[in-house]
Amino acid sequence: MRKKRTAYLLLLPLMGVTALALLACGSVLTQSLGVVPAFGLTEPTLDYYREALTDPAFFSALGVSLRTALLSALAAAALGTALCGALVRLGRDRGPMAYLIRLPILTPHAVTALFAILLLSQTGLLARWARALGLLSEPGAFPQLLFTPSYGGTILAYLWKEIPFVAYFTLALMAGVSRTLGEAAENLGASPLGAFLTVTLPLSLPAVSQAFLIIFLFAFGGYELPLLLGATLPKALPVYAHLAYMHPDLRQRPAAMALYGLILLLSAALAALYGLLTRRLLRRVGGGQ
Amino acid sequence: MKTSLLLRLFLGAAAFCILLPAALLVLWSAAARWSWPNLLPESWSGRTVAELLFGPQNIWPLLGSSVSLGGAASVLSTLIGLLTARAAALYDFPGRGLVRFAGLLPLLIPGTVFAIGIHLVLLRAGLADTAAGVLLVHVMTALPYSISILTDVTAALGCGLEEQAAVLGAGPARGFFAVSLPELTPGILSSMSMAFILSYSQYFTTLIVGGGRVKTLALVLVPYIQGGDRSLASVYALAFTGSALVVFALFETLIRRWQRRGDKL
Amino acid sequence: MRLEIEGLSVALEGRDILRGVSLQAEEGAFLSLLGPSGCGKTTLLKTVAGILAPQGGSIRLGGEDITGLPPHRRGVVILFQDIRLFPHMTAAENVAFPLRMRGVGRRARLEQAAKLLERVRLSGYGPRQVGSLSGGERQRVALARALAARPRLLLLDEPFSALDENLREDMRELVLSLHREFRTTTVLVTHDRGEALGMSDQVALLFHGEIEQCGTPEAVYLRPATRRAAEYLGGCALLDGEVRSGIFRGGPVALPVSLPEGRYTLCLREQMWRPAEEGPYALTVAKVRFQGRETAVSLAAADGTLFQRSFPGAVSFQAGDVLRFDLDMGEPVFFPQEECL
Repeated sequence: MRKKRTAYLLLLPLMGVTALALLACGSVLTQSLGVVPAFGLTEPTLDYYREALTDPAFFSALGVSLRTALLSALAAAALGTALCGALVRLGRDRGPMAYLIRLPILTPHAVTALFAILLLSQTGLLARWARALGLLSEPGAFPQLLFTPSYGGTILAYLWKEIPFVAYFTLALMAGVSRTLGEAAENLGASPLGAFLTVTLPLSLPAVSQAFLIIFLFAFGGYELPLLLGATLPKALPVYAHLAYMHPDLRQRPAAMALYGLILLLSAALAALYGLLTRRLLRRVGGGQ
Repeated sequence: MKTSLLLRLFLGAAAFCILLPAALLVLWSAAARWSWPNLLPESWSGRTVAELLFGPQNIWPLLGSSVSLGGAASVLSTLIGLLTARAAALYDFPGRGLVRFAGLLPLLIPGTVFAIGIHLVLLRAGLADTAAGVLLVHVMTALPYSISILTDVTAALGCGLEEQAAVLGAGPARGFFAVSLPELTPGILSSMSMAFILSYSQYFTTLIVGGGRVKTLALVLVPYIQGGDRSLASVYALAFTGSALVVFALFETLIRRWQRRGDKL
Repeated sequence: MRLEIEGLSVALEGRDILRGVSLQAEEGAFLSLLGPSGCGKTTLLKTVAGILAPQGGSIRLGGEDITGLPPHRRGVVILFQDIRLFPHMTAAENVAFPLRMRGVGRRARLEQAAKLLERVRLSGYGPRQVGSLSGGERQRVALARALAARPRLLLLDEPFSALDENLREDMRELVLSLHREFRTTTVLVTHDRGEALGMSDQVALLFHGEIEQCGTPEAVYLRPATRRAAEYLGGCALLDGEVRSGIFRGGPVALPVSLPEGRYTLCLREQMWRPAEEGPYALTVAKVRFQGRETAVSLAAADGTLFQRSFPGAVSFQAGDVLRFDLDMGEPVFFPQEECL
């Protein structure tokens, strides 16, 4: 529209922020390569990465994070889409229910962890309901969901936040599609379910897919929930990394940075992989517009 | 219709799952004793509330710092977001795609890595362990959301109104403030609401960058939850969620009022 | 199939949109629904299709009451104004969609789709992505798709309004030829008077949620039932006047009529003014506007009343000239003035 110079001026704050963000990543990576001038270490080395990648504890931690992230994201994507579909079908996409699903999104992870403890622990509310229903008599009989290597409680806690998130993220798109194209499909002879499966759902997938990536990466890099609800061993990767960071021997700092570096690189790699996988599948849907 | 009933049950179950934990918080906050296997507390007490309001780590300074941090972060994030959105939506310049990517960058970096890294940067700048440093990081975290919301509304509005104002004799700044800014208000309020809640809820960044010196409500929640006192943890969590909801509701009401004003016109 | 709408009432968000609408269309007829924007035409279509639920009244198709049926079981297909092709399917898949919903196998339905695409003059367009089609092409794919559903009733919601003038004419031709071939009962909603009058067997006027008049194009145009109908269809001047002693006097016009005394409005069509060298009426040319195929001329009577008349091609007279006319009344149309408001 107007002079380019004004545009660049307007973008100065963003550029400053971006520079800081890149510096932040750079600092982590630099220290992870063993370059810590404050300690007199100036030679870049891959030793710390080598250490991490040959440590079985690292791989257990990675496994935990990948598993919890993948399971929770997949389940949340499916159930969140169903929730969204229910809202749209019943015409509740703008009412009080649509507001209610924002509540878990606004709740911080720590509070969600507390919810999990109050509900899912062996002396929690669900266990007490089970006892009231006569299903068990001892707390020990209730399945141990929290603080176990299965990370079941962590996954459920992620679901509590992620299902509403997927629904909220997809809602505007799905409502719009359903109102126009879904209506046309029913008009042409599709049953309501048929219209949903052949028209509304496929066209809402781009939003679901984006939401999936967001919640997956968030869960992969998430700290609070595995910290508060996870097992002592194996730890989730961010918890493991933070423990290394808090090590009293500051010369071990680069080792912790290597772990953080790996988290960063793995996240980027997972995002790129996901982008490649979905581009072909989603091109048709987006390109048709 | 059978499907309709099933769907309504599904929604009801979802609503139940969302509200039940909140109800639990209230019960635990007020409970003196609630042991297995009782479905309701055996006795009630105001101990936790007293500690929340008057105890050594009472809520008032925590609220103060959290709310002021959140408020400042929401204003700054929205301001930068507006400038960026204006450039991204209304101007044509090489590197436009890069701007979109830059806007999303903090989102793409895992939260823990971002906190650790920015702490290193701030250490060198002498801003580590300060409220200013924490504020800066909160703004960086909220910025992608602000940019996203504001770019949408700026692009939707376009520069048509300002062009009209210009030919009617208004200078560029005047034109913006008189004509575009009012129309952008819902987007601005939305961005502020989002940024506030994000800043308010920050744990790890505040912990690392603030070094424990900057104490917010979200920060103290974690040790309480790790501790064994469920009632105390619940009352603090309740205070947090309640205050966040109040702010959120405030913003939403402002937005709704503003939109209704537009309808009357 | 024969369409019978009886006393249909629809309210949206607390406002009455349709008030007791009654309408019939014979099997295989082409009915145009004409009226100004916002008077409920689209609402009527959506209610007949089952997308909206009526508050009262009934809809019968081929004798069967469909008022309670869900949209996907009525056999009523709407061609929406915003076309609504499915962007994630090719043109052929779009056209084949209704067949797919009826359980027709993949090969068979794509074959039928190809044939229908030929019928709408889009041979070979099957594999094309929807996004790559022009406005007119998408319109035709939507038409083919609607026909693939073998509708008992076809509803067209202002289908030509977004197209260029030339395209519009082609599309009208196409719709009419398809109508002749498939003999589907069709209702066309439009606010274009020429379109409605030129295409249909029946024209229905919908004003403010009520049917003002329904009849053949000639009947509606030449004998409008109310003043509002006459005003909407245009092409006429409305002269307010009085009948006394068997003569109507209004403006410059005096006519013998057999009406009881009282105040009346005469509906005077432009073509009733016949140029005649010795005609009783002398009108002065006020304005001449050449419009290509015809020239629109404003003529002023002695008392200042203005009349419009078009002449084919160009004309030789200019502003200020005085021309003489006779009035060829045919069947004059009068509205009692009580009805005016």
